[in-house]
Amino acid sequence: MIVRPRREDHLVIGTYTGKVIVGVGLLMTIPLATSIAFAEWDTVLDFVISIAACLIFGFGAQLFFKTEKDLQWSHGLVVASGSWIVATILGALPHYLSGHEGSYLDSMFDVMSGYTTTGLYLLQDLDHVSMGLNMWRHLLTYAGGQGIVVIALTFLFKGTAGAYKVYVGEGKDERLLPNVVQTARAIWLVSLAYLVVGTAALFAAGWWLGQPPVRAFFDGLWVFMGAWSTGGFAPQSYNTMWFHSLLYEIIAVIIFISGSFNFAMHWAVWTGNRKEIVRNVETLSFAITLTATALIGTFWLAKVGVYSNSMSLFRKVFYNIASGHTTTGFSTVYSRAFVTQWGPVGLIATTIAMAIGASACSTGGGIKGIRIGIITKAIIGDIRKMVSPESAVVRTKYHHVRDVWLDDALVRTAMTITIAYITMYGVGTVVGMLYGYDFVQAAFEMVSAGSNTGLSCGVLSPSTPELMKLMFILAMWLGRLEFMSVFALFGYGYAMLRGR
Amino acid sequence: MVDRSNKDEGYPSLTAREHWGRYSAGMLTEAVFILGLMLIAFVLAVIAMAIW
Repeated sequence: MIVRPRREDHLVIGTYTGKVIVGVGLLMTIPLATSIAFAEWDTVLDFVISIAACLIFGFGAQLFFKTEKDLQWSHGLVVASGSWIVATILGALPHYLSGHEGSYLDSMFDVMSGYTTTGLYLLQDLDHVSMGLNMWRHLLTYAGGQGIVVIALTFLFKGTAGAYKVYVGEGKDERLLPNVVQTARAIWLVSLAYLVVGTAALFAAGWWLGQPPVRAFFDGLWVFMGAWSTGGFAPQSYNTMWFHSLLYEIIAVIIFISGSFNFAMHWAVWTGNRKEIVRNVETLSFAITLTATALIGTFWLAKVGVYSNSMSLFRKVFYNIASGHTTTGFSTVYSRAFVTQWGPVGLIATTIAMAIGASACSTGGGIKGIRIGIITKAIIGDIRKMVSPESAVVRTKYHHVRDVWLDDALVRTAMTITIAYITMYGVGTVVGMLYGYDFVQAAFEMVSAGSNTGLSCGVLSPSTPELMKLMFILAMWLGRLEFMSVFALFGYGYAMLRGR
Repeated sequence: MVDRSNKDEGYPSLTAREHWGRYSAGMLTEAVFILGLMLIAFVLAVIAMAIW
């Protein structure tokens, strides 16, 4: 029997959603300050209106749904997925008011792409966007990589037991430290330390390449945000290809691969367990699958003779496949060049890399290295069982911060989520094919959206049919929250209608 | 609203100066690991160009 949610459930969900939206409103004060600093008064007005809308909604929801009750598991999942939808609707206001978007749906697409660290965008004339809006775009993706709820946990929620349930609902289920608020702060510490070092390195590189210091600083900051969050937004329409610099690319690669690592792995390495990086199932899985996909891409592109020397081949293949594998979406080739130069094998290698994706509890998306590692270990374990004597007890373990014995429940969970991703990729590809795109291009674009990568082979544009845009928005949301929270939200809606 | 409960529970401060040496070494370890992956990819590119 499905139980209809009680009034108390609505109150708890409304209150916590309100808190998250207040957080979004407060986040907008940073682009507001940027616009004021650069005397962009139209953009200032856009942000004043948007902040007012967020604060009115956020505080209004907290007043309207006022309750002292703490969250239960189902509430946490619903708040996590529901607040992303409200944050997308309200966060789209500055985009829409800027006049750079074709419709409110396009604005919401870009904001969902930012929050989910995807990096696909429909914004037009990117090279002439205001500093304030550029700051908002990149802040969205940086905040999204951290998790909107992690931000709210750190700054707005008291240390309630319920806070952990929202944190898990957002797809980050590792505890770096015993206390969940401390865990959120440790995540922030790693991210902010990288922010300082990464921005300084990119700023120095940009300045050395001839950019004016102020522009070099902001480009460095924004490229860092796009890289660390594995978001893939950049301030120029040519993305990071605009810099034409090996140094800039190396710094960006270090940042986006670091961003794709599990925060628990970061924390282990940062607190003295440095061997963890070569023992961890996720980094090992990542190293193997990245090398394998780079191998396919490298040998194929060498064979077809697209690049004239080893350095060009290495720079183009490694950067773009690593960008796809970490679900970043930075690129140094034109969108259509994926089709016209890389061809079907290059596209398929990149699609596989994107589908696998980054580490769990990182800023990245995709199926995740830990699930690939668990499933591979389970298959190897089964083969060992088959070739062992019947009486032998065969147990398999994997290493993620500590040794973990593989059991059926772990394998089942990894398989369930993996199947959910593959189903989503498959359904989206079929929809793309129904709209007339060939299989490889439809799969590339769908996997890019569903794994929150953001590389494009040119399928997506402002003129893309609205239904496809909606499908991509749904795919980005499902992929980022790893299905369960979104299913919980749908279940909540269904229970409201049909429950007793 | 700042949660002070962690201090009551006796956790050391995450940002204490004494931790920064280990944090820097950790960041450097990660950078070296990534540069190693890049080196493998570069070797692959050299081999691929030599073959074709």
